[in-house]
Amino acid sequence: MTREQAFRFGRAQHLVGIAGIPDNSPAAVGVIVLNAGLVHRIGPFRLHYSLHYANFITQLATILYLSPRNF
Amino acid sequence: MMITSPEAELPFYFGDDAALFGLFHATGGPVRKAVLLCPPLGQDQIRCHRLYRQLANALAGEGVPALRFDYYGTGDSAGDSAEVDWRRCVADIVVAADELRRRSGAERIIAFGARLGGSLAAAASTAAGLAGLVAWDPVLDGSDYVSRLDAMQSALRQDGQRFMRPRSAADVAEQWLGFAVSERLRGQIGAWRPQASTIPTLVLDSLGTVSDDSHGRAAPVTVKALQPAVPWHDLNRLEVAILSHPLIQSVTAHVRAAA
Repeated sequence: MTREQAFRFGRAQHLVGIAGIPDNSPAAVGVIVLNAGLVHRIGPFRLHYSLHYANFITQLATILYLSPRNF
Repeated sequence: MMITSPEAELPFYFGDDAALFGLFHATGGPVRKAVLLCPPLGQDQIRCHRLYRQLANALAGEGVPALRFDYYGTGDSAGDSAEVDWRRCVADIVVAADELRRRSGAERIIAFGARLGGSLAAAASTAAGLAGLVAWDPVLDGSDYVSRLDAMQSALRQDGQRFMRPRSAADVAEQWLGFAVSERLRGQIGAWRPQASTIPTLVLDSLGTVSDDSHGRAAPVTVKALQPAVPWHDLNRLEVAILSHPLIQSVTAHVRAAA
């Protein structure tokens, strides 16, 4: 199982992120996935979501995907 | 118009198994009405994302709370993209409407939806207890929509601007514009025809294809032309965000005047 959290952060709480935290955390490695251009957090064709859940399966890392601007 | 601080936008998960992602645009004080923003599907949802945020902020700035959310299998909600199901989307609107009532305290929920978002909100209107609907270029003929998306998909896979060699039909089977679409969802959309409207409905029509009779006459349906025409089906604009100040102004004015 995994825990998924949506939250705001940053100096002015102006960023939105979603963290997928494997149950075996704390993990040694974390991954930050940034949005690209038009497409918000979820990434092209929900690629970031898929990465997120691939990570859950492999339990390699804590992963955070966020939208600096376009949330 | 008041400026809402970004802190007033709260991201969270809700519904069974906390499977649905939402962003609640809060306002201060008690309210009578709130707006549920029902997204379209596929690339339309990507292209409308920023406009939905602008609309939610504009509504919150007028003191009307708003909830943006993603259906199961879309956006930041749980579920694989191939699992998107029409009936689940309708059920998710019901859950989201209840969530919005709970968070805002509003009794009256008005739904807004672009394209299939408007169609899904219409389909959910009774179960969700909606007080009104604003539908922007809603899909009124599911079979026509399926044909258009099939045509766009066919043109896309052969587009020399995107691919050095045309992709085979088998290579991109069960996809529309890069998004998985199951045979089940395809059939569900293809069968979609709206019932006579049972709630006050405003149709914002940029395509010039909607008549007042399209929704039947069981409840007041108003059709308002909106310019310019939105290039929903222009392959060359697929990666261009859909933004419209007239749309935001029309929706906020309508909600302001609504009971």
